Amino acid sequence: MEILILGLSRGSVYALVAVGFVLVFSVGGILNLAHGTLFMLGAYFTYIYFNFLFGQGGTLALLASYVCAIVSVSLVALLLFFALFRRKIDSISYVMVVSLAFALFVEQFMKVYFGVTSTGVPSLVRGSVDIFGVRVLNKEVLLLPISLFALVALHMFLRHSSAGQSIKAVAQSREGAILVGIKPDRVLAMTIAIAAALAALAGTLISSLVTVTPTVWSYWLIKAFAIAIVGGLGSLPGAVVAAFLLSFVEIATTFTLTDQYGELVALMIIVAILLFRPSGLMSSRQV
Amino acid sequence: MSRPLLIARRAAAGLLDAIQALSLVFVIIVAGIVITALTSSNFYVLEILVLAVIYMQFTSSWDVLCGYANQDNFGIAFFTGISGYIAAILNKSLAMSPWLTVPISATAAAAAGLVIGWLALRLRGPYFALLTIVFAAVLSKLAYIFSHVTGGEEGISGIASFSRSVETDLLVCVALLFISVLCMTAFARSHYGLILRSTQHNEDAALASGINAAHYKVAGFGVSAFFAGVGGAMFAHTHMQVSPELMAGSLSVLVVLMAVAGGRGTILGPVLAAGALTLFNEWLRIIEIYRPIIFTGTLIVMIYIFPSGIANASFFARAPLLRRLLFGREA
Amino acid sequence: MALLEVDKLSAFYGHLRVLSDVSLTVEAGELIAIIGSNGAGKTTLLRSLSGLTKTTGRIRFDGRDLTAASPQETVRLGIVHCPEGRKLFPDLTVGENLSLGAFLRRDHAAIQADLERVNDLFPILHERREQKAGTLSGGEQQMLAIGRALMCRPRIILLDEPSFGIAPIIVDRIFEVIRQLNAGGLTTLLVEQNVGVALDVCTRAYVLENGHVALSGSAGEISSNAAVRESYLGM
Ligand SMILES: Nc1ncnc2c1ncn2[C@@H]1O[C@H](COP(=O)(O)OP(=O)(O)O)[C@@H](O)[C@H]1O
Ligand SMILES: [Mg+2]
Repeated sequence: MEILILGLSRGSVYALVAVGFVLVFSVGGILNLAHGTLFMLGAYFTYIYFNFLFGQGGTLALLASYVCAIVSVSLVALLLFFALFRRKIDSISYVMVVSLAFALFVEQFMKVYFGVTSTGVPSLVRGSVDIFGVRVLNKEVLLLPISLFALVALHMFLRHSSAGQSIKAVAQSREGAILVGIKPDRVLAMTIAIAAALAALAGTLISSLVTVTPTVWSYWLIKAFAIAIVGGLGSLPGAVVAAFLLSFVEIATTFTLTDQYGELVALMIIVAILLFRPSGLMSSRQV
Repeated sequence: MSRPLLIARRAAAGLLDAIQALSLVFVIIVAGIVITALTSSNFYVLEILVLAVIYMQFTSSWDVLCGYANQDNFGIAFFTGISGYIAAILNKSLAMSPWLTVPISATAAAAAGLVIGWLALRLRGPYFALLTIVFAAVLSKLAYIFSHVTGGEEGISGIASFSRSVETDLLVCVALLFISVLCMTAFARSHYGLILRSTQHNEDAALASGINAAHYKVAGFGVSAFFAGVGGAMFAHTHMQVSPELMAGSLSVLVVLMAVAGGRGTILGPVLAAGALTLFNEWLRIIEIYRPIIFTGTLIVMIYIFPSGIANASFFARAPLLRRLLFGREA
Repeated sequence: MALLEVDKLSAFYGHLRVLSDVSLTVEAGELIAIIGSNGAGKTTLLRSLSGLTKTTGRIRFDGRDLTAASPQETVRLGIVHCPEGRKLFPDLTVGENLSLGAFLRRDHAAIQADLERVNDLFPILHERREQKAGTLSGGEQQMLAIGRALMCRPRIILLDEPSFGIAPIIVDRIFEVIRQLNAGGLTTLLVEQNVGVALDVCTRAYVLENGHVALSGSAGEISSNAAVRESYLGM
């Protein structure tokens, strides 16, 4: 039961992070390896805003810090796109390398200014509840509905707004999109900002639950990357399914074996999928 | 003529050709390091030079596969780590001399490279990148799980150094680097390098022309892993300890960034960049606290200004003589 | 003055010269066919006109210089390209594909009217409006591609091989629509390898060979030309 609850709540956060990563790949054909960094910045910006701008005020101040953090991370992502990626956006290798360099840079920056130890933010809610006889922290319980809400909002946006349709159009046929007058560059910028916002939301949600250190970005990057490929690079539903799958495997193995073994098993599964089914579990490209 | 003899003659011819193709600047740098080792007794300078040589070894071994086949291996630390730890264990528990541990552990790394290369054959781009990342992550997880063998977080210390003095250690390392670069240049200039290059654009075309691209890629993996392994063992026997950092993702990333900044597919571009960047990083110690920020910032700026790397900058295409001096004859 | 004037257009892929000094004019209301064998440069010519491929030379549309225009600008001005391979959005529904055709437009009433017109022309699209574009048959996909182009409000439509890979009966239906649209005043530039059908519907035609205009003239002149009859019509 605990596995189910934790698997669901962590899986929903994984999904938030992975969906953005996949979306950017589908639209731009690029892998933004600074995606984990954007997640991490979500947590850090929340901490910064809450402690320094809103002077550790009440719940309202915390909510305001969340919003400011998400907006800030989107702006950072836009800066990253316009300043660094656009230089050679057609080269998947260049974008991977330059985004990694950026990730390393942010890591060092955070180490210098916030130290290597963890940074914490108080939670929106306190206490815990009993769910089917399992004691769960309230802040843990909050993850699933908020993430699901964000995912559904993303789905509605893609499905029903003109901007969302342009994202889908570019992902499915870049040339077709150009020929109806869509500018893929602009759509990619918008997509990167949205993906960053989702990652930042995940980061802010997690910031009160797990420790955030300047090096967590790589852990989350590998998660997002693996989920993206397990789900079939380019498929959003695939990414969501894979996110929950991975989280269940991890939680289940952590409960039955030790922490270390849990991660090892997850890694081995990724290797197996890469080797035996590289197109992912859901192979159709679906955005 | 018998087959082994034929291969030996080809290899000799390749090495001779590599010597002729070698860059003058590299030779001068190697000579400079040798002279420093012979004359200087400044412990600090010697240590830094050892580190620079090790990074040159790492980046060039990355480049010999990834620069030519244009695939990004984000897990070179797999090879440096596996070799460094094997060297450490052989030395500590079997009291094997470094003269044996270096070739043995590098060969072990090469074997691992052949296996991974074979497994990764069908994978391109993002899939390939993820596989290399995950393999390196698996290795470091294993190191934690079998911490009674690997020492876990602490790693293994008390490994024998090559010799009793840092000066001689540096000489050994620079000699190994020189030989490695020669061999890798020979490999890259042989038909192996040429075919690896041709696969980067269009594997199907290479296949259509009757070339078995798989054979060449796996071989490239083996060579790259072998020399990365030499670097890992070098690290073990100069630092006298190995820790999980030798198989960490951050090392892999740093190697990729330095190699790409130097210019992929040129061997010497990555070598020179790694050397220069390591020295630059040490020089930055005068402003210690901001050092890592400035260092990583510099990497970003370099990659931004030269997206294909310095050695591939159009500037050098217009100045062939300079290019020849710095990076050697083109493959 | 002609609606579209192309003067000494040249296009390159790397060092390969694909178009050399192509000149042509299209008057408002005409239906011009461009024929030529595979690799002659027909697709490249259309791509140059819609701004997908950079060129040297001059393109004037309705008196404006468009040589360096972006695809978005050309669509805005009413040059709409229905490309080779159709380039639909396979995982979107037929309806969504059509709406995306009107991406740049804000005149909702007119968009609705155009949608009805497309549905009248191709009733099958209306029937399948909830179906994903990728699940349509080749002929239906071609209809959808033309429908999407019409939703852009074209003043000139560039059609690249609308008959490619489609059953003959459907080809007839599609060409019937092309003729009908032209009769309604839509200027059309039609690229075809199916030379017989193209010469049937067009007013004038250009023959492209190795990237240059080998021949041009009225439909009748071209179809009676001995060389054309031999190499394209197989007579
Ligand atoms: N993307 C491209 N890169 C290189 N060459 C191309 C490309 N597209 C077309 N070509 C070449 O340009 C020539 C003209 O092609 P195209 O315009 O497609 O001819 P057509 O449509 O008449 O068959 C052909 O020789 C083709 O090989
Ligand atoms: Mg064509």
